[in-house]
Amino acid sequence: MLPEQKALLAFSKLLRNQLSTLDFPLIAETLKKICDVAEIMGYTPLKELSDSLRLFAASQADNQTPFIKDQVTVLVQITDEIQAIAQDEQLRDKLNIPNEKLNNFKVIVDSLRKKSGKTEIPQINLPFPDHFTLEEIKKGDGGFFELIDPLMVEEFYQTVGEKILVLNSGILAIEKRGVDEEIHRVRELIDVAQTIANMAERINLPLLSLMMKTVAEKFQEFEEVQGSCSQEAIDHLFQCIDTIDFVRQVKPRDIERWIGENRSKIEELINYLAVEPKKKEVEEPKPDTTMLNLLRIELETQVANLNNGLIDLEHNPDNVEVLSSLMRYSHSIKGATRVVQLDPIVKLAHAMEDFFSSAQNNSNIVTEANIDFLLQAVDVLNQLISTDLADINAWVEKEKNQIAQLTQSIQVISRGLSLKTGQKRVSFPKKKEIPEPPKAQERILRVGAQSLNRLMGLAGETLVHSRWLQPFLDSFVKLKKEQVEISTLVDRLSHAIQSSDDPSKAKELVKALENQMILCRDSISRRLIELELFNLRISTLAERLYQEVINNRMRPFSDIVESFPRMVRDAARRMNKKVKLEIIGRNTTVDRDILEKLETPLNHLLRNAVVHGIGTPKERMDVGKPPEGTIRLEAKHVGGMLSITVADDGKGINFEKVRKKIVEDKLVPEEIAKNLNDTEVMEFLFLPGFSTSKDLTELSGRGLGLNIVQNMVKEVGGTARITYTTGRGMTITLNLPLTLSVIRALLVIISGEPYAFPLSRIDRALLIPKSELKSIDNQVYFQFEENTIPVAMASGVLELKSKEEEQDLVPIIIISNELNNYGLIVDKFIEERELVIQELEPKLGKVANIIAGSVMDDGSPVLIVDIENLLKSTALFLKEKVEVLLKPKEKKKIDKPKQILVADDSPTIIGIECRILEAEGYKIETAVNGIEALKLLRIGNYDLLVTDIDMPKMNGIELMNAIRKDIKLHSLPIIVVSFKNEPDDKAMGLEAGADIYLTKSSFTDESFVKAVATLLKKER
Amino acid sequence: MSEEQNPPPLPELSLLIFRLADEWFAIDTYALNEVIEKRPIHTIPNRPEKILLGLVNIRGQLKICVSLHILLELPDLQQEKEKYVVISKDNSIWVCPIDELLGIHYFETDQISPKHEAASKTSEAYLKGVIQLGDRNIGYLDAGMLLESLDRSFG
Repeated sequence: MLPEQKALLAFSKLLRNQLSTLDFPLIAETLKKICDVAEIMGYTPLKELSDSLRLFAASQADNQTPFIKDQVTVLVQITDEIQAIAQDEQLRDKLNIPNEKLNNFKVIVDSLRKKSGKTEIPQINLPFPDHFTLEEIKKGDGGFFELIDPLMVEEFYQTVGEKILVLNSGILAIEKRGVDEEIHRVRELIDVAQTIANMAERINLPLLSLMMKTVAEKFQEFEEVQGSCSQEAIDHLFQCIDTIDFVRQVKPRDIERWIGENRSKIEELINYLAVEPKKKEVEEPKPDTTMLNLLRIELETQVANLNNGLIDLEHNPDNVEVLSSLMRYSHSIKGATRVVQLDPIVKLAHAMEDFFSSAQNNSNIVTEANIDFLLQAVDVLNQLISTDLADINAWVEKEKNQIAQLTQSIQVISRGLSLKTGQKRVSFPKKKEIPEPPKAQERILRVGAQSLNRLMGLAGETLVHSRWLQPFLDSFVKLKKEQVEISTLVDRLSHAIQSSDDPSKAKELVKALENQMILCRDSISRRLIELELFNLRISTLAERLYQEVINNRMRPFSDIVESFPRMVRDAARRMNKKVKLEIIGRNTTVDRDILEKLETPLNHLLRNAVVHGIGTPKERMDVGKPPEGTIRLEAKHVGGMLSITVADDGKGINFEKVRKKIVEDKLVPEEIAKNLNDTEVMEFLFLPGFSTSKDLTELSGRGLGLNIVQNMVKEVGGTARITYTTGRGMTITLNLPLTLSVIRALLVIISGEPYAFPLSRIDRALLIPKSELKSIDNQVYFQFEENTIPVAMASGVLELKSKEEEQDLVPIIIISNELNNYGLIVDKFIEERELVIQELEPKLGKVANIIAGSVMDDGSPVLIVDIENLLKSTALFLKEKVEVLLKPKEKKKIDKPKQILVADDSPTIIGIECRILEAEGYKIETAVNGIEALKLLRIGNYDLLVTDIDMPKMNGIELMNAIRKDIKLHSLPIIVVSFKNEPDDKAMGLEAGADIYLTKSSFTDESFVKAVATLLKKER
Repeated sequence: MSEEQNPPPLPELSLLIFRLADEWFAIDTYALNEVIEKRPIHTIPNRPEKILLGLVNIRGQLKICVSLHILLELPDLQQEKEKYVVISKDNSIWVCPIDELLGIHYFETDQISPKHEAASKTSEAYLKGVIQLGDRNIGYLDAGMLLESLDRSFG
């Protein structure tokens, strides 16, 4: 029990007594006290209610308006409720929970207040009847009702008495918050009005019955026709309710007379309601895009909810909770789409709602086939979301018939009839994936209201702190004056020492000087302390502000996962498998940008897991696993990284199958494939176009999956790892940075300006003695561990002015990709630092070698290099430019490795060929098509070309023709390695100028090495 | 009421006056964001365009710094600039180093005399007219045209 509850109890008892005397000024006072107590307790609903009640009581006290019995009843009920609250043991826990009951009371009280003070509504005045009581009916004084069952009459009177408040408060709520907010109430009101109409009919009051029917229809119209709820309609409804309220108070014997006297007025009312324009048909205003945008946001949430709910439902068809939440979602969609008048969709949502509602009574209709229909409906909504805002109406219009058909199907299955899936499967043309045109408008992000509040708070605090500086500045001005005083004293002192012999004068001045200095010193140290404190405060504040902003970039993992259960379910169903998707770590926060990029790769991984990983129920049971497979998708923070795991309990990797496929695809010859170890075999899984599934299905098998994952992970600077247990499933773990907005980078100076190299992408940063740099044929190299690394001036690659600085230790950054290592010479290393990434002005277009910008602590700009791009530029630069870094005399002639150019459009082949040739000590460059190869050959210095025939842009034949015509290149030895092994192909290749023609199928390490060696020897 | 005097009419034009090389220019202050003290300009690698000086930090955002000298084909003799003017249109902001700042001055429309018909120099193509301030001849820049042409040069 809270201590305040005692006070509450005492006051509620007091109130109870006061109510019997109807002493309103006293009642108001007691209510004020209750209100205060509620405030102290922090119990808002009670506070608001008692406050409203107090105002009502006060107005009663002032106006001395006639008092109706109901009002007292309400007051008594409220008092009882307050008393109950005062005695509630668990109240402490309920303080923050909205109290529906109290809120309802508040609405009622508000309506009473409104009625007691209402004047604006145009009134059709009805004579106020004399009071009578139910007792009179019971006493047999039935009057008009003599011939009718008194029980029915009593029931009518009682119902009207009970419902009049519902009607009044309902209409009031609609008026206040609009139909959509209060759609539940509208339903209730339709029922109530209809009930009263029926009862009136039974007790032979046809006019009243008609009136209430009209009222019910009006409510119905509110529900169905958007925008039909006008102020005028509301006013008329209020008058109808008042009329029925009056009737209740007319003595039964007078009722016929009363109705007769007022017939014309009632008829007038009915006419008003019935005639009022149902809907303004003239010039349907285009719903503006703001509304559509809101609709889209709402639909996104509800569609995700529906999807998940439906899948839940499929697993637990009897779960009433799921059903009722599904009902709620479809209902919200109905409301939302009605606002923008998308009638076909409204009907569709309505049908869905009906289905869920009948499913509550008859769970038999929840079958997989039926759920398919509902999921189809969800797909329609999904397409609606992805349609361009401006085209939504047109789209709906176009698909109207399809949607109607689907709506009908759902209506049929709701009645428990079955429809075969597929039989009436409605297909919607897939929207063409048109990349959104680049919009000039900035993109809009959703930020939590709380976070925005915190930001406001922090910003406000910053402002307050910054104001502290002004007085501080003023105090410094004062300090300066004191300082000036010292100089004056020193002047006077030196003057005194020179001119006068009076030592006491000098002494006096020294004394004054000392005092002044102490004053100054004190004031300086005081200020120093203040400044220190300020520094502490402001830096904490700035840190918090920064963190809050960074947090705003983070979104929960759940943002992207909502579509997965549906996708997995569909895929599994199509493969006739049973798969359960477990999602763990929905609340793990992830940078928005990473989250966006994650969706597609995860889609692929999950799909792969369903298609390749999990077996059919039979297969699974054969190996003693439960028929239903489980895929676990987990996101968590591990050691400052985001770790995403996709794990299945399926078959794992079938290495034999992969090996076979490698050979089938002629990626490597069989003997090599046999010797590949498991890790190497897995590498192939990441290649584009590699897939072990037998045929291309819509689901999977295009083999792009793992490659897409790999690319995405690389792009954000993370790693992907596969772990597996044969027969017991496969786990893919992605380790990604938590945010893309901050990176750790090495700051260096190039050409006198700062540049940042992302730490995750540099291999080494070294200071190399100049003597270790060797120059061979105008190329500079140095030996690092086992590698000979070509070196370039960073300023050269970036096309900046180079600074001629003699340094004994040369700062070099080593960067690499799978194929090459390069060393880049910079002016100076500065330090490692965290940088907040800032996109470069889009107006600049793509800036070569630069990925983003940032600002350093001192405010000066710094550019962050794009390592991938830089690797390519360095390779080109080294070929194009002859680097003269070392003086000729230092040059030492050593045997230079033979340079071979490998041209092939398959990275796998390139990889294999490079591996073989590099093992032999050759230096390899690569090209992916004929054009690139020719370009490299012309600028570079190669001893041999290894080329494929089938290549994009310029094929091997064309390439060889060009080479043989080139003055410089015509005698270059060429080896062709090709799939084409028909004799004709071979002849054509040799004719075009190939020295040796190898087919990929007969390709072996030995034959290749031998061919290369032969040709190079010949050349020498 | 009648005693209340009408406030003096606002001057029609408020112009920022500055010098590039040895010519004086004026630009409407509505196109002006601010004038800032000199600060580091970071060169952009692999971008040889002369007009593009680099990136400058304006309140934590890196903005493009361009040479009005190049745009207006004026000789750029004095390398170090003490002040930069920041001009903008819609969302594009440009930072332009200037040689000297005179400040903001107010003019009436009729103080503008039309530019010479035979505008020979490129810089004159960007002028709306000429204004006399003391003994200085000031070219009144067409801010819209200037900004548009900057926008275009990075299309």
